[in-house]
Amino acid sequence: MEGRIITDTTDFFSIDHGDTIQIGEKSYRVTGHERELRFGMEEPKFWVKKAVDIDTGEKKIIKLSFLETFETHFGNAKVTCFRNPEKEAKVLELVDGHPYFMQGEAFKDKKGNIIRILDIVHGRNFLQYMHYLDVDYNVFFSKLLPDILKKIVKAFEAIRFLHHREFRHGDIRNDHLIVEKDTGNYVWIDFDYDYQTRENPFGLDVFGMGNILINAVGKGFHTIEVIRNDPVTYGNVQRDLNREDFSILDRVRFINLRKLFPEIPKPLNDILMHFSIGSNVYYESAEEIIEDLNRCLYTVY
Amino acid sequence: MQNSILVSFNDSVSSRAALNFLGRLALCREDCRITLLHIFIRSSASEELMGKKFTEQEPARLMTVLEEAKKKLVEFGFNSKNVEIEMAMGPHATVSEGIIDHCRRQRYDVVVIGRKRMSRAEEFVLGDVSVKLLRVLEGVPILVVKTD
Repeated sequence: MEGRIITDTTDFFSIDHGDTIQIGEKSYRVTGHERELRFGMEEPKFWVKKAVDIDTGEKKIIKLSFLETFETHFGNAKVTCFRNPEKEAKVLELVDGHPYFMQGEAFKDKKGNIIRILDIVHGRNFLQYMHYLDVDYNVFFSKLLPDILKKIVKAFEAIRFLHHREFRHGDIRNDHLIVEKDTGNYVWIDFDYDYQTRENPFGLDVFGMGNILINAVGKGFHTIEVIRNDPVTYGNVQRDLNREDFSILDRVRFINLRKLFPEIPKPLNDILMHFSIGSNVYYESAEEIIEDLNRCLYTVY
Repeated sequence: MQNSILVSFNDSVSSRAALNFLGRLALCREDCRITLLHIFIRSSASEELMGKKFTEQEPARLMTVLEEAKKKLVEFGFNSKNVEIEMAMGPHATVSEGIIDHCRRQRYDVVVIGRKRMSRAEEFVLGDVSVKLLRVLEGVPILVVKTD
């Protein structure tokens, strides 16, 4: 069946494989929907289409306007979150040509819906990247981690670039950071979320940055269940666990990684511990984490 | 000599608790000059998008709240002429930034602020005005009135 020509994207659910989205002079053939892993299941994101530029044959991601507001809980802190296409359009304009952000352009369809035409960032996301590193921790620590941390600093500097211009990434997660295949750069994707944490405007971005560091330094995440149920890997560590060793916002995520891997230097572990229940001092800005990380890289490696 | 007191005020239980605490303090009321200050913070693009109508109505609603607070201070015995209301509409990213900026422009003998009990997770994610003031504000005593 011949696909339709779409100039009004309001009903994004109905836009499907074979349809052509027309924006001004440009046409994009839809080839499918993007998917997101949730609770171990892949769910289609109907407002995010896979497409091909009909003129050039180049593969693109097309994000259509989907406005949603919801409340989410981090520990017992309640935060209002928004999906904001306008913000992502502004950020795309701001980071045009920046090597550490996904690239693309924003347009409006005939009904004023904001459409973002995005270049695909090729590579594994940081969660997968760490998961598939098949080396012992001591080899990882001495041979790979220094370079990973230097690249993380670059990615964090990119977040600082946004914060200084009063934008948040909005959804900093390990799977929203792509290890770009061609350059090796760590590239941020997906910045259409925003949130309201008034006295700490960048609080959730900072928390997300902490999770990236914890994943990196720990060569993956370590939870209380895994530590308890895998004595071969974790030995007697479970006898030495305290409440204060775990994440302030995710009570099962182990933060005090030096207990698992004694080779982790104290200054590096101290950075992680800012995100633990035991901490009395929290990071409030990308700047503070970058400063501590750079100091640590300079003195340790 | 008059004592100059800055009360950071919003429409909250903790602000009212701070006001009540101030009212019960053994002060020479005639010698106190009180500023009831409300800081409006700059909305992000998203907040403007989601709550434009609400944002537009806020100044008028807050003025009523501040006038009620002033009445309460007068009931406590403070001189109406010595109680000022100020709404800072400046481009402040956070309330603490607004108070700090205000204190740099005008001298106060004490800053009074209410603080709702927060969990560590709430403090981490949402931030805490009183903690930031304690950290950053130099040369001014800060009175934090804690509530549940």
